[in-house]
Amino acid sequence: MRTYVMIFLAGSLLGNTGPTLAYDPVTHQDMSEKAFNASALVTDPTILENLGLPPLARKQTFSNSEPFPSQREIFGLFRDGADFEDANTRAMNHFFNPLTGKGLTVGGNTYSASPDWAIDGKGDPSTVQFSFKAARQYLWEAVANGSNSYAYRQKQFGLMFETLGHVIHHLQDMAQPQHVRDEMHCDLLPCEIVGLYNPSLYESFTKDEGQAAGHLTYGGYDPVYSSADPATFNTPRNFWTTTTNANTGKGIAEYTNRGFVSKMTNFDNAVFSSPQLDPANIIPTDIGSLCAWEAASAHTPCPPGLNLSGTMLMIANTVTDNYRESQKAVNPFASTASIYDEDLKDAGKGAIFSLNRFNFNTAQDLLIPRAVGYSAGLINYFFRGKMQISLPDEGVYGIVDHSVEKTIDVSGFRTIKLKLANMTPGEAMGAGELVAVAKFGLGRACA
Amino acid sequence: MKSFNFRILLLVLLPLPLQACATTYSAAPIEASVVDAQTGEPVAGVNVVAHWELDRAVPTPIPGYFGRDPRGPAQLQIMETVTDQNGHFSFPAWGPLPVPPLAYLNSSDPAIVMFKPGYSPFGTTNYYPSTFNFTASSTRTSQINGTTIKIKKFEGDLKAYAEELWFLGSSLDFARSSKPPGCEWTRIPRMLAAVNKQERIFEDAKIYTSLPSIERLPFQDQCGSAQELLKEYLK
Repeated sequence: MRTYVMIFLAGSLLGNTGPTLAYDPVTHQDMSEKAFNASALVTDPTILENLGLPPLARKQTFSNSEPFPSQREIFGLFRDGADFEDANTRAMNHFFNPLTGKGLTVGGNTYSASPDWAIDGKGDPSTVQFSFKAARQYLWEAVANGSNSYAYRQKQFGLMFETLGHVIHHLQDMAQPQHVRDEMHCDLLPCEIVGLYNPSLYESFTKDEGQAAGHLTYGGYDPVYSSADPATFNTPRNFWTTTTNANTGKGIAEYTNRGFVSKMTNFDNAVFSSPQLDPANIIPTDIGSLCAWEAASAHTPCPPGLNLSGTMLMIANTVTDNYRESQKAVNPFASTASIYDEDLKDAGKGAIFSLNRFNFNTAQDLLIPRAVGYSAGLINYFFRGKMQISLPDEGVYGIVDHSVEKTIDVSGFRTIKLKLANMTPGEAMGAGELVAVAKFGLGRACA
Repeated sequence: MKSFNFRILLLVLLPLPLQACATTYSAAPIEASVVDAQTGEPVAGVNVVAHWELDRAVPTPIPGYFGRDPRGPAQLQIMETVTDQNGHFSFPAWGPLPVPPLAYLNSSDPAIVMFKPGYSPFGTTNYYPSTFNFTASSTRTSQINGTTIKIKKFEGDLKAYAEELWFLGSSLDFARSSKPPGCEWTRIPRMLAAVNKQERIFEDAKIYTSLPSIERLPFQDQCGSAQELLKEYLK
């Protein structure tokens, strides 16, 4: 019994840290809805039409995956998926350091890396799966499995949209520096009891900014997958990283890892070599001018009445964008020298840095639009498939023999011939099975 | 005896996380004014919603671990009002209200949403400094109390206005994505009616939006007909 007690105590007070979360669920919901709005599901009405679904304006609803399902429109399912992905301890699998390819390790437990979890469902014990792979299965069941009932197919459509919400939640987490540097944080108040309440200030600040109209900029970074460039992100994993154990590629995890600091790895170049601290980029900045910048931008202005004065040492860096090189940007407030800096230097110690609202605001300006652009790109990638049917050389698809007069033909045609082409940009059609769903009838729809 | 001691220990340890959260919450009254950002004139008829949102955690099978409640947040209190001729509005004090174990208010204590057709929507929460102790006080105040809020008339075409009002759909999603019995939307009929009138304008112009529509409000079989409940405000 004593052993059990000791294990319990160790588990409760030492080894455990509670779950980590990510951007607040409402931030994820908003980014996901923005991604949906920017995606081909909204901009190209033929996608829903080809799935046999009515236009968005009809506001068709589907069940979500909850035990007592709610009926949600498609955008609502994306919001739900983005929300539910943080339920229970799923968020422990929302980390990915592109330099190591690994996810979070806590108390001896290693959790799935974000792309492994999101793409293949690796390590997910859930009965209902919410991976990219599962979404494809739901699509198949919804549109191609002729043995499914109408109600079941509708349910699968709902699961598909919701699951895509789960998946793009991960790309959004990859636009949070702590999540690409495997840095634990616990935002749940009960973590306080074990002394491990360590909320991500970046996340809570982003949530508050998002709940103030117009303070977060979601747009400005077009979907990364489109017919204009179907090659760069031609696998789901590429959306995370296009290299192996490096951060030099075009994935969103690489962009964030390479260009941004986090609370615990704030220009700690012994741990992460980029971004590099350049002493020439440490710029004394008047607090008044920082507040003036906030007031002039869309962000929440400095609290009134504080009348702060003084100088802060802001550290700038250049954030490279290896996918859209022209969108390389200078982040003028990447980090801030700590108020203890001078004393530490006098004591022969190294400089330390801190992050504040100004650093968060400039990070948001670069990261949130990319979270949306990569999420929208993945939605486009999921629905990229296009096939074209055309007449065969004989000039007809099928022939029904009506030569016997006054006889109702009950069997219709038995064979159809057609030419099939894969119109998906940049992709050849491999071997596989084609399921054709024929809809025909006289005055009524048959299937 | 040993077994008894272990049970006692468990009984002592297990409720510990609950102490991290208040068991009841109250709120101080809120009073503020709304003016036109350009003219400085009071704006009457602005719909104002305040909702105090509880985050919820759940224990997991691993001792000491907590997860986010899969049911998502819950609404502890929802209120709505409208500005008077002087642009003034107020919410009364309330509480104490009990909260379930492992549930707690965060910066949405409250979240405020405002809307008047023709204007850009306004929203805000309480901004807390990093050192804020969420357990320190169970009586919550709003940072907008005693302030004057400026709202802007929207300038642009109808499509751009629909995009601007996206924020409104997002901010009011708490009322339509609620879990069974999911009747939170019945607490903000005035706001929903105003939004619905605007949505019809967009619909007539064939502009798709994700604003809440009356027909899609959830659980009407249990909560009552939305059309019936909102009819007074839809006139």
